[in-house]
Amino acid sequence: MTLGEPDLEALARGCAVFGGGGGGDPTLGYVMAREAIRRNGPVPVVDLDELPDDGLILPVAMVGAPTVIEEKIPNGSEGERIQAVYERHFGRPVVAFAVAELGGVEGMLPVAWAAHARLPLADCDLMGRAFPEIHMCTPNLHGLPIGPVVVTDERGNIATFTSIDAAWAERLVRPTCTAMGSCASLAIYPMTAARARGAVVRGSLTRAVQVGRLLEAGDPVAVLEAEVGAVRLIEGKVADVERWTTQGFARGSAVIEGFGDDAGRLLRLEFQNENLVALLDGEVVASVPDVITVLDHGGGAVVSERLRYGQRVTVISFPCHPAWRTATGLGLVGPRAWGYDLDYVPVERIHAARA
Amino acid sequence: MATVAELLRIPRLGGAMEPVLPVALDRQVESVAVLEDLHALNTPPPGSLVILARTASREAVGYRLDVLLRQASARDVAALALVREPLPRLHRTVAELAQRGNLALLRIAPGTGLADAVIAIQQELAGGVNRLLDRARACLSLIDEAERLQLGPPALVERVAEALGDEVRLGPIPAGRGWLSAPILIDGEPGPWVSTRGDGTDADTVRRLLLHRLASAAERLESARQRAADVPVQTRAELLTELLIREPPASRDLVHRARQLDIPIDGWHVVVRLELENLAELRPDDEMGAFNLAQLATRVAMESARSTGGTWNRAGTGSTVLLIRSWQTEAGPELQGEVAKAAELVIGRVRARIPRLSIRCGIGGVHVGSVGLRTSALEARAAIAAALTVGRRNVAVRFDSTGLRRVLLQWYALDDARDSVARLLEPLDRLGERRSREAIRTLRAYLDAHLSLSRAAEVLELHRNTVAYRIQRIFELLEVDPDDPEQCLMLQLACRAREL
Amino acid sequence: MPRALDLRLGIDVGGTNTDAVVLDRQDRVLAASKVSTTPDVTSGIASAIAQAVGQGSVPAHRITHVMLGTTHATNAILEQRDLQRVAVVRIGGPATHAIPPLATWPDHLRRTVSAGEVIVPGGLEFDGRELAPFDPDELARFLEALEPPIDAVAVTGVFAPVSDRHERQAEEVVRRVLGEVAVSLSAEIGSVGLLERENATVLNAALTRVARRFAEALERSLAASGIDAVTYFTQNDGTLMALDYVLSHPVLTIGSGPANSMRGAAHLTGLDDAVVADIGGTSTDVGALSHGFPRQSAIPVEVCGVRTNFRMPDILSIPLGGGTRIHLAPDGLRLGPDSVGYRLPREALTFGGNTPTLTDAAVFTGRADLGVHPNGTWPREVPWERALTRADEMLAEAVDRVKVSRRPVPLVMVGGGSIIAPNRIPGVSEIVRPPHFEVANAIGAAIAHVSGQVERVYHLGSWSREVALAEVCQMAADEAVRAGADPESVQVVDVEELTIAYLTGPALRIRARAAGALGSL
Repeated sequence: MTLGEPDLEALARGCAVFGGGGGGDPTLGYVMAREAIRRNGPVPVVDLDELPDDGLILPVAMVGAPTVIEEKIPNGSEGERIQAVYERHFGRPVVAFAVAELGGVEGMLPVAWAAHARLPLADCDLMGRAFPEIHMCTPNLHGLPIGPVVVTDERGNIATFTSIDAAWAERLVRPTCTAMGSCASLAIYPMTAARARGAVVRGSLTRAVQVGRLLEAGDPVAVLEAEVGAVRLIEGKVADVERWTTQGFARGSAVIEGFGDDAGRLLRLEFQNENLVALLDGEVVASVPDVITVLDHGGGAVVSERLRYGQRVTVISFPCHPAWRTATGLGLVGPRAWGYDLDYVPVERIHAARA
Repeated sequence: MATVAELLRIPRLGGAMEPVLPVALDRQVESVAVLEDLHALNTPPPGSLVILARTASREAVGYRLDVLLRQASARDVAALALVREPLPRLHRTVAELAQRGNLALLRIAPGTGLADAVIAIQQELAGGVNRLLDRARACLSLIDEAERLQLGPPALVERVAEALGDEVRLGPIPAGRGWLSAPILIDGEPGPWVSTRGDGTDADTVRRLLLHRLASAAERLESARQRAADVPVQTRAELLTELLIREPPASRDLVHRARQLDIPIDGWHVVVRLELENLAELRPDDEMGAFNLAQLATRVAMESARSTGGTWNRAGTGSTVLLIRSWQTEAGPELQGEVAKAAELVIGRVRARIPRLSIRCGIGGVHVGSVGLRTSALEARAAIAAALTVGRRNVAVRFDSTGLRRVLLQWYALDDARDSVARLLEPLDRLGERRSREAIRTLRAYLDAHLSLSRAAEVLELHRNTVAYRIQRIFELLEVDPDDPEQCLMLQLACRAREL
Repeated sequence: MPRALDLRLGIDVGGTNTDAVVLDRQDRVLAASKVSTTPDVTSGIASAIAQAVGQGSVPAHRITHVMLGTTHATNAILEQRDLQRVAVVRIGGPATHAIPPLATWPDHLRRTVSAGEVIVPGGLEFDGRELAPFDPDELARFLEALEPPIDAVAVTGVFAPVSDRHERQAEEVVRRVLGEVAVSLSAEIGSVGLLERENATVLNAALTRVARRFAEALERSLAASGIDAVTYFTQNDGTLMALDYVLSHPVLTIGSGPANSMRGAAHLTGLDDAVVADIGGTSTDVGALSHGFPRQSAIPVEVCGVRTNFRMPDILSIPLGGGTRIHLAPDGLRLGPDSVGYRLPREALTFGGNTPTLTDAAVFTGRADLGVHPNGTWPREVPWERALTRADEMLAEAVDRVKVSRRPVPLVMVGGGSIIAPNRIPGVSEIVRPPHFEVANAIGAAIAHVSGQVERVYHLGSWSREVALAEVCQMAADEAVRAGADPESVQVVDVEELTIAYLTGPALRIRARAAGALGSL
């Protein structure tokens, strides 16, 4: 597959759905990618099998507050700068960029970096969805090292971290990011194509484009039921949104008041950037790591920071990548990892029990 | 068994347990349980009151409270009590879930001894004489407190009924059997009775004693109330209103009381009269609404006036608001301008608050004493009348010669007015043209000088005694009471009208 | 002084027609009129008023409130007419170069509006620190190199909503170099979201002349018609704003036309869930009614292909109307996007002119019955049937894009140009053309609510969020009441919170908007 200007919209739509409320507004990433493609041409998307075993792959992302990224747009040269640092470090060329996090800006940004650097994108990502912290990646479950992590800002500052583990990398990167103005670009889990094959979520870009294309045409709920096994949680109006910030994360809670068939029901959505837990009338109906996505009536996914009173929305949830459902996976990103005193139950099982 | 509402009234809890929501307060509670761990909610039986211990209460926030409410409803728990500070805002889902599960959500103030509370609740649930004694004790302390709480007999009876958890009636002895009653003696005669139902057990003795205590307390309160009615306590505003509308003889007593109320009645005054014109239009067919609007306007007016500094009081009824600016030391006529500025501010603020309100505003002159106060009020009214003739709204119109002249001209143009001026001044006219003119000049100077002989003498360039003599003579001839501002004003108008 | 509410005059000035309605206090239509929009706008408004007031018993002096909705600004952008040339200044280097200013604009509009674009070093971080020092010299060099005339300048600084100090400094440079030009600062136009705010600011700058002319014209018309009333403009959320506010914030009137026509359509049909197509002379706006109100999109809304961050009805605007010109290009048939607009009654063939329009196509094929029927003088080479089929396809596609689901929904057809529309459209259960449909915009304007908006920043150390929210909501409600809303009916319609900093303790920016029916005071 080659990502040209016409495919970007589908990719953005798809990424937003997989982002589960996180990952920022895809439009910005979309425009960045489009500008880069207009300047430098389309970006090939290649399967990991097609890349040389020892070819270096760089998963890239932005860290920081989504609202900041929407205001302080990158310079454009960040990807190339990161690439140069790694090539110096490993002494061999980077063969492809990759998407670290499948969501909003994060899914689109690597397209821009790849176009600027005239490199392909590997058809994979490290989460199969969006998570707020850089150690919440599937390679972590396979014991791959996160570093060296290279962080850069629009001014050209560069910081390189070699940490003892992924959690430490997160701890080191965050204050650097804050110092850079609460948004920065970085690469994590630099790895060879061979090691990547068993450790990442594969085919995610082609899947996101596929879902995005179908969403443009069809009924969003039906499309997502068929494509990703989505379950419809409620259709209604946003009746309350409450937000607070702790430790740099935008946390919040929204209440969706059902209408139509769902009249009389209330869905409480707990989010910390990403949507994490959905309670229908006090009963857990979906929880992290399964993906919970709020769709507006145009079929587009609404990122949590854009949730607003009065919006009419449909909330859906679908299963996460199986790697997250293992004991290690749940230890890293299960409900308790976010401070929710709940046992994880796969969304499709909850749904079957309710039906 | 007891309802949630009854449990909330348990005297020994002293109000430490209160509802968070007005939901399910009529539910029957069968048992009480304390929960240390949020996850142990599968233990309490249906119909119980579940109290979450401190740690558990702290944890029961956000989504956890939602989950908890749902689980509690599923187990048919009657009420859930959290140890918490008052909640500033209740999450939407909490209210909904409680409502849906018909579950009472209660709060226990931190610092309450939970063990004691549970015992008190258990006793209440068990019922019997102990419970009655407990309640009677609470009733007695209420009765002792009645004066301090300023309760009237009906309110006291109501509160006692609440504390007793039984019906208590005030009035004739109820028909039917099983009632215990005690009379309230008023001036030695039985008035209404207080009654409650007996159950034929020993507990009735307690009830009888309680009724007698209640009756004698009611008697005490009633006679105190009657004494108080002899000296109706009036607010300053009511008093001033009366002062400004009552005839002079009756107002002497009011003046005295005004002094007692610290109203600087003997000082100098300017009255600002505000007439709220279109209340009925703003709140058509809604008298209460119009009344509330007038109240609001009055309050805003008073606050705005006070914000300009100085001593202000208010009076007035219905759509008329009088603001009275008073000074303890002698105030010159120039202060009317200062008051006018304040009045403009008042009008502005009132209208900012009630945008389409139409206000007429007149400001009287500076006058001294209680008579001066009334004069200023009358002048303020005259100024409004002047404003009315030229259709000026929402501005402060001062009682001044220009405005007055205009009014006078219009007024004097009326046959009736000319007749009454002629009638009023007729005794002077009979003195002959020259003497009559001199008398009217003297009278006008005196009236214009706010009844000050020395100032009138200055103006007329006469000796003070001459003026005093003439004035005395003139008032005798006219048969006018110099202490009556209304008559004085009429005279003043008549004098001026003559000079037009 | 606002007078007690008696009769309301709703006016809608479209590119083609000017409509007026008079409603009484019970929202009953007492009179309605429709005239052609005139080039000077004024005489059109005057004759619409004269017609409406001339009907029945509607004395001019009983009109106490005038609500005006206009697609004037939208049309000005769509047709790229009367727009000012704007120097586009972004303060944000070295950040933001990944997306240059106006990158998301359609090329033709960008060429018309932009007198030049620049990203100068400067802007702020989210917490108010400097992203980079502002470089006045670079800005001055850019401005000096511009080719005159420059009518307006739009200045957008990174994180200007947090502090506008760099934008103010830039304004000084602009004044020094260019003298008296219209300067629009982004901090006054929109909230966080650089591109969308920048776009709205540039549009605002481009529209200042259009707005000034329009406001002057309106005042003249009202005075000439003997109407002494409080005047409001409707804005993009369907609520009203005062006349003087419009002059500095003309961009806010964009989208008001669609909001008005949809509210009007809901009012006239009693339908709460439907798709509404408002076909004017120049453009067609298609939107969905959900629960009686225009559905609003969570996604930033495009205005003529430009993304803005206004909260707007989710409206799809297509250049299709009764006055849309039919072109015979060398490569085949082309519809619009230009329109004869208000010149329809002169220039359309059916009215004796010589420009083929969609109205002519509708007359030719017998779909509409007005004007003069075709005769031998009509150009033979125009494929009338094909033009109309193309128009039908455009409309059907627009309706389909706006619909919520596959389920067929009723389509409410309003607007003067709806005579060109077919009677059947795929995916539509029925087509409803309500009475007074032709003046739905004006009715929507007349029933619009008065709003008040307040924005405050709270440091959460000393305020709880609830208290801050309650206070801002109360202030917004008071503001609405001051603007003339009935206190009883005022409701908070929109609350937006933005956490802006964590360094000096969390601070919350709260924006609340309250709206209520015009007071019966």
